[in-house]
Amino acid sequence: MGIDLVSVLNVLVLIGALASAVVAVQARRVLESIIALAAAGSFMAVEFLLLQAPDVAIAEAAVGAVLGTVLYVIALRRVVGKGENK
Amino acid sequence: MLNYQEPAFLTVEENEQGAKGRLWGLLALGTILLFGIVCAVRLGALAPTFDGAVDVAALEQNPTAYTLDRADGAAAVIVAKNLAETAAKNICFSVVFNFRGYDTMGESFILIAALAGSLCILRTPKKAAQKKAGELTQKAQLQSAEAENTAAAIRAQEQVAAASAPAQEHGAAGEVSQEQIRKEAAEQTRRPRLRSIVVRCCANLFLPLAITFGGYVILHGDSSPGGGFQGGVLVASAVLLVFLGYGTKKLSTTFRMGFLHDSETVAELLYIAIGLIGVLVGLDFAWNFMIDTLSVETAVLMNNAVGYHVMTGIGCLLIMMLGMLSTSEEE
Amino acid sequence: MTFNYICAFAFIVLGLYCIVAKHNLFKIVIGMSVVDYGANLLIVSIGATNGGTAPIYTAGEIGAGTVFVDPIPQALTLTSIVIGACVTAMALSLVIKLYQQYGTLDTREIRRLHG
Repeated sequence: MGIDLVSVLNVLVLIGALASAVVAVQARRVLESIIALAAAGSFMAVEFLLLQAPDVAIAEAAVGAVLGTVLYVIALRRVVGKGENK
Repeated sequence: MLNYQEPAFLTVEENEQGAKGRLWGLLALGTILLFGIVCAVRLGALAPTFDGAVDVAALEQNPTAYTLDRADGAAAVIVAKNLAETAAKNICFSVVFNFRGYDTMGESFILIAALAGSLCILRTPKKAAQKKAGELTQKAQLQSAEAENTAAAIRAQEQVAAASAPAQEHGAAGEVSQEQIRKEAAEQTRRPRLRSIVVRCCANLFLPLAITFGGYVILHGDSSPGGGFQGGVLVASAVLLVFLGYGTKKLSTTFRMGFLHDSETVAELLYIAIGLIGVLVGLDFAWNFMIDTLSVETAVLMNNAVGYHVMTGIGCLLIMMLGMLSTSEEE
Repeated sequence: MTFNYICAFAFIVLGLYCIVAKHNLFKIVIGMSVVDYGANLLIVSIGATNGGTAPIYTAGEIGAGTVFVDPIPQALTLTSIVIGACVTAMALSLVIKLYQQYGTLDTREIRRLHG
């Protein structure tokens, strides 16, 4: 277990993903949770790159950071409406 | 959506009953986490699933120079056989579409099931019928109002022609200006509201880029990272860009949801038909027929079918969920 | 790699806690997504333990001692990611319908209303 750049990056990215997931779970507003989930998805995409899996990284970035966040925000807007303008 | 206030029922409450139940729940989760950590440590001490004993450089020079005597699992067999049996340079691609083609077929079925389920759940037949009835009465009212406007215009012209100058000109001018105001108001309600110009310009810029790059990722799945699913999601973001730049009215005129839904079904049937070619000849499902000089093989055709499937399926899903937004805004 | 496994189990337990202990419907669906992240991390980490490189024959970069990472867990993870997205889409449709039916997003209120 050598202390080289890849293992340090690995630890840092995983700690970032865990922190984003904790923020997503305990945030008080739903919009903050959705943005934290998108951040966790982006960290996971970088982690998959570090684990030498580029196909999985592209799929996770496309689904976790883009498609999933869009679906959540559309559902939230359907439920809550446009906010102050309504 | 930057300055929007969430209603009170969306924020989390801190004080709730059942502290004892919460304690037991946290204890159970803590036990699971402890068990997981012990398992993780023991997993770390295991030997890797693929020890890398395949000489990849020699295989690149001569694809058939492999022996399967000391293979320690499926991964060694697949990595050794890949260049000899498929024309793909991406081993993950050939695992998904050639060696494990059945799993990919099941996964595309899951996509279809999710789309069908969302369609069934989000459909509101009564409200749609009421909305149509409301639209018809609104159209009838507008037509009657226009008829009244034209009748008033004819009456105004008759009055102007039949009466003397100053008082009636003043009256007719007032009526004509009122009519003009009414016409402008009607036009404004009929003209679609345009989005902000910055968002529209960005959508104009990124739309051809998204489609082209998504198509590139789909078609080059066998020799670079990518494939059907990744490229399909990238192309489906075109639906999102049109919505962001132009709104739901333009979205419903640009894409037809029925056509996308039918295209998805056709793509799935195409995948199954290409996989069944091998069965008809007498070999396995998703058997790889290769035309090696052109790097065309059955796995590449199945990859393109899956790319088309994901592209239309996720586009259909986005249109359906965005379409719900338009009905809620008009209510 | 042990650190990766511990993080994967931490993600799964975090997601489980979110599903069980939160009362907002959106938070429950977010918990399901967090569990998916943990499971995918676990599968890909199991395959990447031999310290190799990505399993693609890129032109001119394969040397004498190149070792490939296991390609099978990557294929399984692709399927798992797509399944996670489909489950999220259907769960959000259910949340929208529940709000239309009951007018609230709190599971305690919905349990009390009984349709």
